[in-house]
Amino acid sequence: MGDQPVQQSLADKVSLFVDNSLSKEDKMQFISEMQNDPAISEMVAQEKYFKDFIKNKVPRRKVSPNMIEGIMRNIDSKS
Amino acid sequence: MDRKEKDRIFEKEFAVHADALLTFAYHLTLYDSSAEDLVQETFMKAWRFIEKYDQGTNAKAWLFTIMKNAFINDYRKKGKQPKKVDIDEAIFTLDDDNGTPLNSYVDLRQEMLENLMGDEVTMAINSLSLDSRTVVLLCDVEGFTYEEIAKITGVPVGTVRSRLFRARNMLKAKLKEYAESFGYTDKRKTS
Repeated sequence: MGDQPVQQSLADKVSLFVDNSLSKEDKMQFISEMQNDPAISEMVAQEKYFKDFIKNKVPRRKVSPNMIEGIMRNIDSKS
Repeated sequence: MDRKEKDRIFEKEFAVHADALLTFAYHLTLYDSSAEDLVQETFMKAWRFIEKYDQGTNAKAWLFTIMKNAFINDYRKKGKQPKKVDIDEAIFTLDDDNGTPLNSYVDLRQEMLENLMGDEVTMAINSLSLDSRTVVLLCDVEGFTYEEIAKITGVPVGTVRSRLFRARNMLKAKLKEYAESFGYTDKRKTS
């Protein structure tokens, strides 16, 4: 239980790193931590994989040409 | 701004994001027909307020903000009040079946995910609350930064961070459940 806050802070840093949201200084420090600790590198790899997995697996809807034409017709009718 | 200029902006800067908007709209409304209506409404509003848009700036974020606001307004008009408490936040204080607190980091192995299809991912995302699935979609699917997401959703960056952390953990827990239901297990547990 005592380890949990430390783990959460690390997990938070992993998320921020993967989201490219760490400050420049924090990023450099974190990269150094990664290089010294394979467990942290592994966490980062897993988080990157998960983020890419979501991005690649979510089906993208495609708008039909008719829809855009319909929108332009609506715009013309209201102009 | 003349009509020709408006048409140019619409075609070159707005319409190019139509597919991304439709995907987001589907995950907001959870119905294809409602999603198309929301996209139409978004583009009509974007046209109406086109002179407020700074050309060459972040059209995608601008359009997503319009869409999010249009959805919330529509949601309220239909008499559905947004939940005062994000249900995912309430669930997140509990433990999973193994006694692991859901607000701790969820370690999900790649091999468990590999065989899941788009349908399972869609179902898992759509099972999250509106606030949770919004941040996952905006960050992980559409690639917006925390600051952009904060502007689109109207919440502070800190709230975006914490929602994203919780939402990803809930998503992992859900996907782990699907993978296990298909017979895929975390091999570390059997060693």
